[in-house]
Amino acid sequence: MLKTIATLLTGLALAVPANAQQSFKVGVLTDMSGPVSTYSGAGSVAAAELAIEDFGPTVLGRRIELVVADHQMKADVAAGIARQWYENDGVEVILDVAVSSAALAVMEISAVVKKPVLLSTAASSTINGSACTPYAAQWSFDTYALSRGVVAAMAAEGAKSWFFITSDYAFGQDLEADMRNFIAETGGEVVGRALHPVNTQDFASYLLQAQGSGADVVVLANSGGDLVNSLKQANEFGISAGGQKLAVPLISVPQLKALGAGAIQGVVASNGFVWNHDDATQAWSERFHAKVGTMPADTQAANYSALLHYLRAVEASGTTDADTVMAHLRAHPIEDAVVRGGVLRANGSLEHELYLVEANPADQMTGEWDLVTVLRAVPGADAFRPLAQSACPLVAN
Amino acid sequence: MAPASAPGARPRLLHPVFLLLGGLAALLVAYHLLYPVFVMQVMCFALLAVAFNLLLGHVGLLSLGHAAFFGTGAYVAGYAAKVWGFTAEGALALAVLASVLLGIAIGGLALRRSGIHFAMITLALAQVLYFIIFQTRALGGENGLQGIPRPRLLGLIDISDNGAMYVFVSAVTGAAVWAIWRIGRSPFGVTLSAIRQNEARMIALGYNVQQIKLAAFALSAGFAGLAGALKVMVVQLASLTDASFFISGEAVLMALLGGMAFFAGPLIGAVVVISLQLALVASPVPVPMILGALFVAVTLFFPRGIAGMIARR
Repeated sequence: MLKTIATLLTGLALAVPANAQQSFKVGVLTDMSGPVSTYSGAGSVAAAELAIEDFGPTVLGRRIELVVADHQMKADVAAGIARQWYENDGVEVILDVAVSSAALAVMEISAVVKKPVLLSTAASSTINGSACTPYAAQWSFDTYALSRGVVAAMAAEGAKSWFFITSDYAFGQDLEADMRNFIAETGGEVVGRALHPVNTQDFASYLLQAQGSGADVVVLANSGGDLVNSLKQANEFGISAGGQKLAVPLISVPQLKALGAGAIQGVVASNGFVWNHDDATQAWSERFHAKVGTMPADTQAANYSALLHYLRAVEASGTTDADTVMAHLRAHPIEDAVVRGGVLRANGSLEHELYLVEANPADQMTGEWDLVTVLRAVPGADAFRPLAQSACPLVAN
Repeated sequence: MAPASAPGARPRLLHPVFLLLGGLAALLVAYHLLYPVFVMQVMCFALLAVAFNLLLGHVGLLSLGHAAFFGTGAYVAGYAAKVWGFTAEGALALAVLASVLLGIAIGGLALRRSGIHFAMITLALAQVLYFIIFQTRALGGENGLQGIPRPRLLGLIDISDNGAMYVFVSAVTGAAVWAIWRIGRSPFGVTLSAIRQNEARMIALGYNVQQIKLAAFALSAGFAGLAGALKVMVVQLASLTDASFFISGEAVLMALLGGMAFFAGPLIGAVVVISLQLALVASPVPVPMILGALFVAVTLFFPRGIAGMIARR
């Protein structure tokens, strides 16, 4: 057994690279094989590679090296890797960190070691709220911004009455509570709600209630498998065929693609990035597509922007000191092929333009990725939570 | 089922003294060669696997719900340390107490049945607990409990840095594993093995089999809870994964991979599984796939597990 252990230990030791001083390491830490890998995973890695391609191979005279790890959706594995990367392996910045539980865990460590973490997938509003740190940035969006964008834009399109199908736990309840406030602001009315337990298979009763309510909009305030099931069944019950819109705050283009063009009709969502929005996004997305074989999710695209601006900030400030680099990022506008009108705020959230998109009817698609049409661009200031309302202790209220 | 770990028949390489010395040496080497937090995580899961095998290996009870105890230990210790400001040993003690009580509750129900029914009841009750944690706001829902401090030992000794924590975790895990080993060789442990081998005869001999099984279940739950509590002190967070079926499955995987008929089996299994999970984070092939393939290979070709392979030589 000793031999076995010794072999294992040697193997592990070899797995830890020794040349920590030579290269400038940036780490992408995400879910490479689980459910979140659809809109993070290999695509996030490819986006980071594109950022390095565009920035150039060296920063501060050191060769940029991209390291990748799969946290397998486990917060404690993520925390372990983050500690090792920051403390032992000389990784300067950690990117992506899909799943909020893992993101929050890595943020704790990043604050202790004072090295930046740039989150491009995790959407919990706690990240820029009570858990905010000076070394963390949420580069894509939070649930607040997505849902506010959806409500504001749909109200502008004439939506008056709303019905909620809500996942019965903190995430769903918070999302609904936020959206109810926005709806009240627009003068709309919530005509009903149906709470469903997590991991529900049969949404028939909830969808029938929603249909019976006659609401203009049915909101799916859920996620993961529940979101997929409820969307598919909403299509089978003909929710959108009956003239109701389906509002889905959290869904990305690759997820819509996976559901299939037929199943997503009438879906309205907010995205942080739409691949064919303009020439710049399209050109960038074609490069991404050539590498990965899919069009980018908004969260994957955000990873490109985060790394590119981080590298620029390091080069411009001539140091890897996290305080200096983060101050530089906050002081300069964030603008690139992916992000429009970006400002990194004191609470760590990147305020930028979001897009209200509607799924295209299957017979009007011009290509397999022509899944959505942008209904309107929502300026960052209209979507993101005003700093004055932030629960982040770093914001002086 | 593989042959029992009867004293005397134990192969020399797996003798406890060798294991102890080897373990100490490995701990020292590991601290210097590897990242200490990883080694500590391995130790916590090794304790979970050994605790789980107290049921499977000794009594022949397959529990599919050990995540309930691991998770309870993790959340109770985390909450006590973070919110109530418990000291390290206080948080551990409370976590163990909670897990033992839960073990008595779950075991009391599940042990009314045997075999697959027993396994499914443990699984179902563990899932109930999982969803309770999921929906409890105070426990952070799907984000888990984050930013748990490493509390002082006895309120005096600072164990917040990795070196001190390493010694603390090694000592507690070592003591707990030794205790489980002792339990296995005590008259009580022999009774457990006897129940596994011929339950009807034990009943005929006048043993209160039900009560003995429940005691073993509660002990196993308590040690699993201790493992969860230690893990929380190491990684400073309790996540929903800790209470999910995933952990229960991992305990089974570690015990079978390592060899459940051997005391060292689950230890070896835990070292292999967790090391692979952590060492292969950068591998192009998804980790669960590699572990799955390994599991199939070992159960097909080495049904007595890795320990069985070593012992055969």
